[in-house]
This record gives sequence, C-alpha cells and structure tokens, in this order.
Amino acid sequence: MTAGKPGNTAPKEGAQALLRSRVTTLAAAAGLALDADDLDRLVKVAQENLESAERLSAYVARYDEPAFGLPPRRAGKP
Amino acid sequence: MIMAEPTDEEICFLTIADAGRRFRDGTLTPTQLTEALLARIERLNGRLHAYLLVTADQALAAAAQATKAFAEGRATGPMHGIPVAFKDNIETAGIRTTAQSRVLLDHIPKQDADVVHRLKKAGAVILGKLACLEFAHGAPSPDQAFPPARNPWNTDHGFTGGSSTGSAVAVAAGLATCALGSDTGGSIRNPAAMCATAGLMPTYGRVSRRGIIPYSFSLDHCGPLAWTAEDCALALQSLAGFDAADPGSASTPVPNFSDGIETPITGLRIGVLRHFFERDAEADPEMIASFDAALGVFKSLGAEIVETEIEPLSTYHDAKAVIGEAEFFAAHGDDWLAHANDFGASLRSRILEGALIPASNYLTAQRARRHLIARMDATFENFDALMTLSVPQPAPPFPTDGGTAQARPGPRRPNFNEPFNVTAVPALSVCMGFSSTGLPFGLQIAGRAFNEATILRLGHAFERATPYRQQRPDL
Repeated sequence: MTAGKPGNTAPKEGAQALLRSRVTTLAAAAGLALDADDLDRLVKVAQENLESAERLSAYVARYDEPAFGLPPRRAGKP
Repeated sequence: MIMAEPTDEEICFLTIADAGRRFRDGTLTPTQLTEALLARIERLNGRLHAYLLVTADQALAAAAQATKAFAEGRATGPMHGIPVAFKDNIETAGIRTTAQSRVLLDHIPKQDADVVHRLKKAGAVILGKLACLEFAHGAPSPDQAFPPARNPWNTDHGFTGGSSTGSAVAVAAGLATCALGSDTGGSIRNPAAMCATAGLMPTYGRVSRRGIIPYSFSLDHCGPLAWTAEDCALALQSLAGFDAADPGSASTPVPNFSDGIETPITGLRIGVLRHFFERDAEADPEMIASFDAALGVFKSLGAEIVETEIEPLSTYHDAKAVIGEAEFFAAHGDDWLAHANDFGASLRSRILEGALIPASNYLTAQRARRHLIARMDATFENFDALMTLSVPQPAPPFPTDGGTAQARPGPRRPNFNEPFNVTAVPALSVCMGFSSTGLPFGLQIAGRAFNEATILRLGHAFERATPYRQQRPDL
C-alpha cells in the first residue's frame, strides 16, 4: 500500500487490525505461537515499515519522473 | 644488536603486511604463524566464542604447502600463507556452514563461495568459521545453537556489535590475521568499530556474493576485516573481480589497491557529515570529541576539511528497512514456514516484518534508492571522501539476560552505516581512539563507487599518524 492509494486510506486502527490479522495467519501457518506482547510489537514494527514507505513515496514525488507519470486525470489532478 | 625472538603473542598480532614481509625474508613461516594462532584460539576461544568451528588439520596442511612454496621461491602474492577465517554465512566446501542458525546445523556445502575460492587460490590458510548474528540479521538470544562472540576489549560487559561478530573479535584478539564478513546495513563496519579493527565494505558489485547465504540481494556486500587499512587493501586484491554467477557483480577493472597507499593525502577534499550525529541522531560526546580530533589529524596531513550534508539519515534508513526486510523474507520465508521454531527468538517472529511489506512499497523504496544514489554520486563530484562516525556509541553492555529481551520485536533505529549500503558506495571503518573506559571508537570513511583505493589511502594515513594500531586487548 502506497500513500494516496485506496488500500492505504483506511483509518490507522483498521490498518492495524489488518496487520494483526495477517501476522496471526502467517504465524499460524508456520506453527508459531506468538504471545500478545510479541503480536503488539510486530504490528507496531510493520506499521513503521508502512510509514517508511509513505515517507519514501513523498521523497520520490519530489522528482519529476515523466516515464512513470500517469495522465493528469488519472493521477487525480484537474 | 641482537633482536629478541618475538613471542607467540607478538606473532599472532602480526598484520598481513608484516607477516608477508617475514615470510619473504625467511624469519617466519606460514606454519609457525598458523601454529601460534591455533594455540591462541585453543587458549582464548572458550572466553571469546569467536570461532564456531576450527579447521586445524586443513589449516596446518595448507600452511605446510605455503611454507614449502616460500622455501622454493614459488610464493604468489600478499595473501600467500596468511591465516584467514570466514563469517559462518560464507559457504566452505565440505565444512559446516550454519550462519549461526539451528536451521542450518547440518549444512555442509558442496562448493566454496567465490571469495573462499579466490583466497584459496591466493594461497591463504583457512583457520575456520566465525560467529555472527543469526543469518547476519538476528540478535543474540540464549536459545541459539552457539554462544555469541564476546568483545575482547571487555569480555564481561562489552557487546561486539554485529553482525560479523566473530570476524571482528578474531582479528582484534589475534585469533586470525584476516577475516571476512558481510555487510547489509553495517555488519562489517559496526563490529570493526566496536572491536578496534579496520573493516571495509567494498563497492556493491566489487566482490562476489556467490555462496554467501543472503540477507538482502540488493544490499549485501562481502569484505575484509583486518588490523589495518593496508591489510584490507591486500585482502581486497584477492577478493575483487567479476563473477558471472553473482547477478550484482560488476565487470569494472580491478586496480592495485595498495599501489598509491603511501601517497600523501595533501589536497584531498573531505566532506564531513556532522548532521548524522548532531541533528539526525545522537552520539556519545566523548566519541564526537574523538572525531573532531581525527579531523584535526587529517587537516595536519594536508587534507581539506569541509562540512557538507546529504539526505537525512532517516531517508536512507527507510529505504534500507523496506528493501532489507522484504528481501530477507524473500530469501528465508520458505525455510521459516517449514522450520520457524528452529530460528532463534529474534528472527523467529521478526522475519514476519518482510512478509507484511506490499510489493508496491518495495518498488517505491527501490525508486527512492535510485535518487539517493544519484544524489550521493553528485556529492562525490565535490569530494574525494566523506567522513562521519562508524557507530554512535562505544560497545554497549552485553544483555544480562543473554539477549532474551533484546530478541523481542522492536523498532530499529537509523544507523550511520546504512546510507552507504543504500547508495552502493564503499565505506571503511578504522579505529579512531578509545573511550575513557577503554572501549574503541570508529571513524567511517566513504568513497566514490569503485574508488576503494582513496578511502584505504586515507585510512592508512590516519593509522600511521596516530598511536591506536599499537594498542591490543589485554587477554
């Protein structure tokens, strides 16, 4: 999910619930029992990685990369 | 004047350059050096835990061959007869390679990594396999297969830094003349700084990673740790070169890294990255004072010192975190799904971070990285080298619980090494002095892509102008 894209616009609580669900599912697939504290910590770290990507997205937006640009209407511009 | 015979300890502390000179003038043989090192390993490894495996028989056989080659005038180059040890994520044919993980306890590779092959071809003597953080990424925890290495400057309290823990300990403690490590976000320079060795992360693509168990395909580097910058130059000469089996390998010509190392540094322009530790993150005041004194040394040697800035530390960290974690899961996710409980406490759950990074975020991070590289290249149009701290503080205390708490998932902090992994330029750590409590400080020198020679020259000039290469841990 990149900042500004549909999957990233959910409220933070919703995004965290989604992350929590994914962590639980993946851990179960690996036969791993996570305690509540580890689960909270992992969700927090995963959230930080998403925030890292949002900052990088803003950083990339500083540069004009015509080859990767969308037509203005598709990019949400008037 | 009659010269006293060197003690075994003095022999173990010889640099690659000095040992080579003595091999050539016949005052020492590779067998004598190897025997002295094996005896010292036997005496100290129980305290330091630098080695996971010592290959004494193979080492003595290789040393005997090298001794014969010197006696017959067939010695080939500066690494001939030099005892070397490998971080245990570097594969060695017929010799167990675990990456310090239970997951690979029975892994005996069929082939040597490219770097092992090159060093054997250069006549080096392989002493064994060295401790590291699990898969070069985990943290120490009591449930791991081997105990963590201990910092020789303070075996009771000092952490080694990581992840090439055993590599730095072995060189600093005189248990190997040279060691190889890997570096994805500082794993050569961080332990080098905390253990007072030199450690070089070469330019991305300069040294093949074939046969090195990956952490992050696009950020992994392999390089030497040795007592001096000059020794790193000698080792790099044998390691560098194109390898078609490594998709990241570069076919750039390999210069002679030692040729100009004695050339005065007068007129070299050094950019100082002070914002890393004055604005972006904090650092130990005593270490900053040592850094300022180091800059004074370079100035007195004729270098031009200029303050400069690059992107904030956090931008490089964001890119490294997203790329590194995603690539780590890509490399190890299948193993984790099948054997999660064989991973140590740290990686067992933290590996999941990488599974939660969407592909679009990974690609955004790689796009950002392209701009960060371009910005770094532009910076190097104005400078011959950039200097900053290698680490923000001296070796921290080893966790009293063996690492149980530290192994739990938690936020990572930006470090001073990651910018140069992300931008694929070479960076060297050399010892910059010691704290009032006797723990080492590290100076980091970064250079233009494929210009390792200049940063090695700067490191060498600094080591020659300062007394820190005369000091060894008291063991």
